[in-house]
Amino acid sequence: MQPNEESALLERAREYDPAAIAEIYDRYSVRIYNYIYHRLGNAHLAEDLTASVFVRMIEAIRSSKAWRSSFSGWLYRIAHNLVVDYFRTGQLDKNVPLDDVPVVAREHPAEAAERSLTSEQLRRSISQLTDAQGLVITLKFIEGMSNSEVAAVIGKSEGAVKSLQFRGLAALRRFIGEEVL
Amino acid sequence: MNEDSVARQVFRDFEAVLDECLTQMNRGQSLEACVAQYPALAAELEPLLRMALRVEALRQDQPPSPVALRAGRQRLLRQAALLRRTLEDQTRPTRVPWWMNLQTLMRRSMVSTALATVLLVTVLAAGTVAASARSLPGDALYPVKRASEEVRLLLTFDQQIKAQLVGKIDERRREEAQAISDRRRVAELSFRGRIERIDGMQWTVGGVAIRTSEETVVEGDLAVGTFVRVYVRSVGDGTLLAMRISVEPEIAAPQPTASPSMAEPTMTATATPTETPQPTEIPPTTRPVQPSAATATPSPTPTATGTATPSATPTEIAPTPPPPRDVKVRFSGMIETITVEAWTIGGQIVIVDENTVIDEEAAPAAVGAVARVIATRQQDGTLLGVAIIIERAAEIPEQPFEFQGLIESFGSAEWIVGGHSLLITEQTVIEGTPQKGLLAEVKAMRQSDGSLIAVRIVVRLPTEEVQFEGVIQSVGDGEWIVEGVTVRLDAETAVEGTPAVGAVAEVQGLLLPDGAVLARRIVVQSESTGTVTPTIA
Repeated sequence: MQPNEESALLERAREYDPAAIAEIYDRYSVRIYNYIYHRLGNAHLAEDLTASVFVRMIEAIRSSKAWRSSFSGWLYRIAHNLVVDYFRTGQLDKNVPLDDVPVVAREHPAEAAERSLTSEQLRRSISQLTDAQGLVITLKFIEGMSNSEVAAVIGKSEGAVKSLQFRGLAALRRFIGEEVL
Repeated sequence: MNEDSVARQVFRDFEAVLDECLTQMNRGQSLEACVAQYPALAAELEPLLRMALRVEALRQDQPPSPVALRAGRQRLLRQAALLRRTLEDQTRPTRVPWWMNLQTLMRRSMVSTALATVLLVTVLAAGTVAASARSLPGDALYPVKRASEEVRLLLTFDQQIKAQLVGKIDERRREEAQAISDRRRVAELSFRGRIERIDGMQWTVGGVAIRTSEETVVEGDLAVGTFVRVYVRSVGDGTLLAMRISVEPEIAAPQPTASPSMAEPTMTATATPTETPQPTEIPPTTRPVQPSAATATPSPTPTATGTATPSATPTEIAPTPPPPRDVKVRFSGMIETITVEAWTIGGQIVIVDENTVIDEEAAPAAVGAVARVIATRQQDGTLLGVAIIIERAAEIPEQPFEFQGLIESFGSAEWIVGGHSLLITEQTVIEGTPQKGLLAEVKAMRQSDGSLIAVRIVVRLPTEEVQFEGVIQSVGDGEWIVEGVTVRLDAETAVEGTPAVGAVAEVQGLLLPDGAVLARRIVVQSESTGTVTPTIA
């Protein structure tokens, strides 16, 4: 979508035009779902939180809290905050079953289970990063975005992205320790 | 350069090196090769790169369920509709020019009425109203046209003339409906008229052809001859799609007067159509106020509400009794939400109680299913469900589903891989020879009933070879236990010697992901040589 097309779409959404809002949802819902799913590892939770992201979006779309430079970045930020809130409030209890972890070739099931545990630990650690670090680490390494794409989403320079990725990885290393590496 | 500057520069350099290594690894370079380029930074670099790989390993996809996505979409749109209404309420006073809201002004006092009259005259003088006469819904001057009609009705005190005027306004609405249809405009409006024809989905109301659908909300018992109000949407292809049809209380014709030419046809009504077509929603359920013959107190003074009050003169319009309080409503639509107290079906909220019949004979009630609704519209405008008949099950489009897992069983029609049951069809492409315990990469399509049809299955052979020998503990069809290790045999397994429990066998094969061994060669020896620990070749 061209920037001016998106701009027109968002302008209509600000007026609560249902067609525009539906188009935004169709355009971004799966991306936001994937982001949350990768962070939580639970499809049902990810579906619920995805719906919440868009409700928060529509509630704030006319407010001063809305995006300034990147709409998608704003959406990711809402999603990020919801995920962090989820971890902070302890709602993602350890007893909540995470989805099946695919078994990779030559990996014993016991190893897969162990990997699942460390994945959970890693997800929690990402949520302990600063907001900017958490977004950069997730968008770059889990969502597979390039530096320039991440920069566009978070509204910072590529240099800032490199710096945040370094600090984020270093912080994760501190949180988790070297035993899982 | 001071120490801080030096430190910042060192950090920047390290960040650049880290980023460069990540980029190279993204292109297929190994971690070790990247680190080897920067031996001085290896100690710091390597753990961070490994951490990046660990984070990347979280990238596993599971598509969201279409039902959940659709429910999220509905939730969003409902919230947006609420916010839009709030916004409209907040902005309405500034949106409507004061000179157009004459009715409000006139309600305030007779002085205001006079003022409004003067203003109208002024507007008339400016030619605005005249220019608006030919306007259609969607035109800038259309609100002026509607406002001027209201003013004319308010300033018409003779009931006979007023009845004629209402008839003309009704006719004008029908002409407008026809005009926006002919011009293929996209717009919404309502008009009143008598049902002249019902031919399946094609109806004619007041000379205007409309098309109904399963989603059309029908209020009351309708038949040819019934006087109704129709809310239509011109969809731009010449079709007027009926969104709602409701019975309008019949208004009796005015008494004949000295001037027979003034007598109105029986469809004359005194109600003033005041609702403004809403662009995206079914218009509100409130109907124009109708005078009541049974209860109206004769009054010579016209009210300021636009509703004709019967006068004591012989030419008064005989009002009809009020409409029944609970109107039967029928419509069909997709179930969008289901809660204990209310369901949303086709955009309408239907309250359910213990008397509501839920008919699931044809299909189960679920979000996404199509249901036919019979309800009553209560006095407060809400719909109370009488019966909800599920006519069609929720349709979930085919969804691609990819995963990998161990083969648990395989047959000509069904495989179980990683706990998922897969239907095998003639179109299923199978690469490799299946064997229980082997890893399979599966591409499948999830059907609306949740079943998975395999599109492509790639059986991956393990590459790790093992060799060991031990006592045969059991010999089964395709599976032996040798020294506690499950050994699987397939068509490619070569067996030398006669297998027997207690005999010693030397096994060469491939280590399967589940810990079993897929034997390539088994040599059964005649005597036991004791326990041998499996070794990895």
